[in-house]
This record gives sequence, C-alpha cells and structure tokens, in this order.
Amino acid sequence: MSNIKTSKGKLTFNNTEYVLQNFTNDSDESVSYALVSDSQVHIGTDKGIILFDLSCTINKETFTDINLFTAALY
Amino acid sequence: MADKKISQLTAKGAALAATDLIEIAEDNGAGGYVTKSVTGANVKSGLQATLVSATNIKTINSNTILGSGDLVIAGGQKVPAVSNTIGTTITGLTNAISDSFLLPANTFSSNCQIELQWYPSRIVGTTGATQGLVYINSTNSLTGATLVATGINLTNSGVSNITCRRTIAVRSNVGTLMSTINQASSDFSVTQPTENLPFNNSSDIYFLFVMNNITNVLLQSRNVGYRLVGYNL
Repeated sequence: MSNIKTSKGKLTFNNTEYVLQNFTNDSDESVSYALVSDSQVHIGTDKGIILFDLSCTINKETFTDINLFTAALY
Repeated sequence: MADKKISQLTAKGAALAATDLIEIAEDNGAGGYVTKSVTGANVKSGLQATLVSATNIKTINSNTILGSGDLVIAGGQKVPAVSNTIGTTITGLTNAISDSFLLPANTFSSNCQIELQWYPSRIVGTTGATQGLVYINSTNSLTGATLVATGINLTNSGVSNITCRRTIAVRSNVGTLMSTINQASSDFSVTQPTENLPFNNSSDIYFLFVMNNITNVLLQSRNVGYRLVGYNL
C-alpha cells in the first residue's frame, strides 16, 4: 500500500513532491480536485493532474470514503 | 622463368585485365594438382562490382553512405506503439484501464515531440456519457498516475468511436501539454495545460487507456486502438 505524505500545500508520493494547485475541470471551472469515482480523485498539482485512490494511505492512515480521503490531502 | 622467385618477376603495375592469365594449381580430386591458367575475367567473375553511390548502392535521403566513419541519424520519426487491439470492456460507473502499453526507457531522448492518438469507443448505453482518458505512470497502475489527456464526452447511444489526439513536447525530460480549451480546442482532448509534466524518457513509461463511464450503470466502453509517434530532437 502506497503512502501519501502531506505538508502545507504539498504532498509527497513515490519520492516525488507535488505542489497542490488548481486546475480547470470539464466545465471550465477552476478547482483543486475532482472526484472521479467512489474510490478515485483527480488532484491538481504543479506536475499535472494526479489520480489517487483509496488504495493509498495518507500519512499512514487508511480511508474508505473518498470525500474524507480528499479532505485529508488538503 | 626457371629458378626465378615471384618477387623477381616484372611488376604489371596495372589492374588485372580480363584477358590476363594467372597460373593456378587445380585440385584434381585425387590428392594431386594440375597446373592450369585462368583469365582475369575468370577471377573477377562473381565478385561485387565497385560500389558507386546511387548506381549500385542506394542513398539515404540523397546522401551517400559510402566511406568510413559513423553515419549519425539525427532526429527521425519513431513509432514505438501502434495497435488495433480491442481493449477490456469497462462496465458501469467506473474509471478503469481498458488497455495500456509500455514505452521502454530510452525509446526517446530527453528532448522530443510525441503525438498520441487513441480511439475510445462507447458500445452500450442509451443515456449518460463516457470518456477515454490517458494517464502515464511508472507502473501499469492508475494509482498515482498522471492524467495527460481526457477525450471528449461520448454521449451518442449505441456504438460510437472517435479519434483523440494529444501532443506532448518534451524538453529535458519535462513535458508540455498544450491548452485545449477556449483559445485552442484543436488538440482533440482536454486536460490541464502545463509545462511541468514529468516525462523522464530514461525510465519506463506506461500509457494507460482508461474508460470513465458517467451517470449510467449500464454503460459499456473500451479503447480500440492507439498510435504513438515521436521525433527525437
């Protein structure tokens, strides 16, 4: 199980650091994230849009709800 | 000629003529030899003629390949992936891999241009929409994958196939994704433009073709082909 480490506007995954930032969704709105499914979310970063899912832990914590999972990233 | 070494003979000082005669010892097949002569034409018969560029050896883009040294081919198109494979059918409200391919490390240099085409297909469903998305990752997994393209919504009922295209300009192993909305809608697939896409050609890169079915649990879709073309710069 892969872990996401968060810190003030940033996250680290697989030894890569991402700076969180908004992106434009399909409706031309600026958003910080977009839920893709009940277990997946698109997160806007400085390195593009990254897909994370509930198979990941956040700071070693396991989640079963994608909304709580997403909230924990910010 | 008697008692004269071959090195003591008068040198001809010219190329072998077709009519010149050369003394040979022909194997008689019984352990002995028979002295005979052959002509210069006999010796040359069957040999490759002197290579003359564009005459009996082809050129590359009008450049001769004769001579010593290395012939450096700068740039040039590569097609490391092309397929008409029918991908896995994705059913219901999900975002899952239908097909994928591996772009092996060092297929392209750190500076290159890549153009990807893929062909998402909606095959079942009377309502709702489906999209063909493309991610890249270091493994054949969606977790932690980077979205590089989102195909337009497929909303027609019944079978619907479209061609999507994405251009990636890579400089020093960092990719640029072009804007695809408002000012430029012609790159045929939407995602956030960036000049900071990690695209390290010294490592393996998986291209993941994902179908995302939206709002209809009966939707079925799949990817039905792709083509990756690139140029080293």
